[in-house]
Amino acid sequence: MKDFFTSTKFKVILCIAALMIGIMIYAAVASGSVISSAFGTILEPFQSASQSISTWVTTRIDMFVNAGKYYEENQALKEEIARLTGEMADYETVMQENEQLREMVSLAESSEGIEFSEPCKVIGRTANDVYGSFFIDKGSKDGIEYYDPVVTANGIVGFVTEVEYTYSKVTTILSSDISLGIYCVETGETGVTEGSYTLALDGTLRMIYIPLDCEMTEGDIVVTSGYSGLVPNGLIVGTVGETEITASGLSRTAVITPTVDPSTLTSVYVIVDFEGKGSGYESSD
Amino acid sequence: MKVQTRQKRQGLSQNVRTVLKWLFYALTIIFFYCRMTSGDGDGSKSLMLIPFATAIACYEREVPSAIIGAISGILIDMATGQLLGFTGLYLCLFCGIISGMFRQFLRKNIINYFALTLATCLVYLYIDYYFFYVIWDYEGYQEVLKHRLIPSHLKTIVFSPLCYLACLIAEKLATVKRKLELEEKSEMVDRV
Repeated sequence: MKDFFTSTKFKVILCIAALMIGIMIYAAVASGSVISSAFGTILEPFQSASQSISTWVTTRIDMFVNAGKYYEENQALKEEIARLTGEMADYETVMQENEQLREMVSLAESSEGIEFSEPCKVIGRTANDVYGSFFIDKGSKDGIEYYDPVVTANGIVGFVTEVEYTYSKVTTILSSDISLGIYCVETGETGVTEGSYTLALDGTLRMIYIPLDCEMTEGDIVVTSGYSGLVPNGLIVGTVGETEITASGLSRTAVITPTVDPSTLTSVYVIVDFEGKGSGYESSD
Repeated sequence: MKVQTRQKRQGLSQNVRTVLKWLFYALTIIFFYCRMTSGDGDGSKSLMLIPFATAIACYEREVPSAIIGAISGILIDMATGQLLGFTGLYLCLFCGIISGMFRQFLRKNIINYFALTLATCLVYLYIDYYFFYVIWDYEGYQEVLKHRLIPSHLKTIVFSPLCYLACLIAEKLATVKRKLELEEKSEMVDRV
């Protein structure tokens, strides 16, 4: 063994170890890494294929395992369809309402000046991450930038925290690294989101700095305030759960259940530009 | 009568077999990386690149083992979103040492492999937990140990013998068999 420690191969191993330390230091001080970018670009097609296969296999297994349950559901749905057919008389009214809502949404979007990316496919997930961060198949070549908000039709998911040429990493709003200014639509009370490992395991986060005399009730909807200039105003964050007074007794906190579950997402959108981007207090530094 | 040793060529040459073996290693590493980043975000994922790297270290020399360890480690860092090079450094050193131990002290069997893989996983679990959770002292970091890290490493350890068997089979298939034959006594041979 003594010979081994004086041999050339031991010195080579030490050189590789020194290289790893160098990579570590470089990755720690630089926002992106050439090595992860290179590996990621090579592995992206494999990851994408693997995710597709995984989804396909999971779906097929689910079909076999839950066949009985689906049969019962199918029967129930047939009855439901029969009942709904009788309600077709209301169809025209619903259609009109739908058109009005579409107009409202498109108006809201145009007035906000939000510019979305193309649909981004979720190509991989960070292993063992409690916060559920994931990778999308759009990168800097598609105009994605650091801290761009990531959304679905149901609300905000998180922010882009790593951008490579062909892919990006999204950190969800459950993360303790992300704080969002939010307010309650019903009562107008404001607060800030805060994540923790404990809450993330339940798929929730916390709203802090709520006034003691808050009027929020369970089920109220909270949306982004947009003060930071990093995210547009009015994106749905989630619904309010139970509230409690903090240990200091100066304010309240509320549990927020996000409207989007990041663990089951397959595609998202990135907001690449919006009116007021970079004009909030975050950009004043 | 004397015992004659000769190599019996069976189909593919030694070089081709070696290339195929390393191709198998590379594809398996990519497979394990994809497995770590695929599927739903819920639940813990096993880090099968660790036992696979140590299994390769059982049969390969120190330097290739250290290189495989470094690459596997970097892929684990990428998959788990950790500081790039952290696991690379760890596995580089451990795989190099494991390879050296198997070449000089230990017999190549599944018990020794399992013991070393267990040690590698446990030390990694501790340093991972310490450097990425304990010293930052975020709220509820103990929950990560309970719900993510321990289940992940348990799965890794339980399935690690499969990696050993895969490498054992690959090594056996990659080595050209030596066949011993008895040579008949012949008057043509001038014996001293």
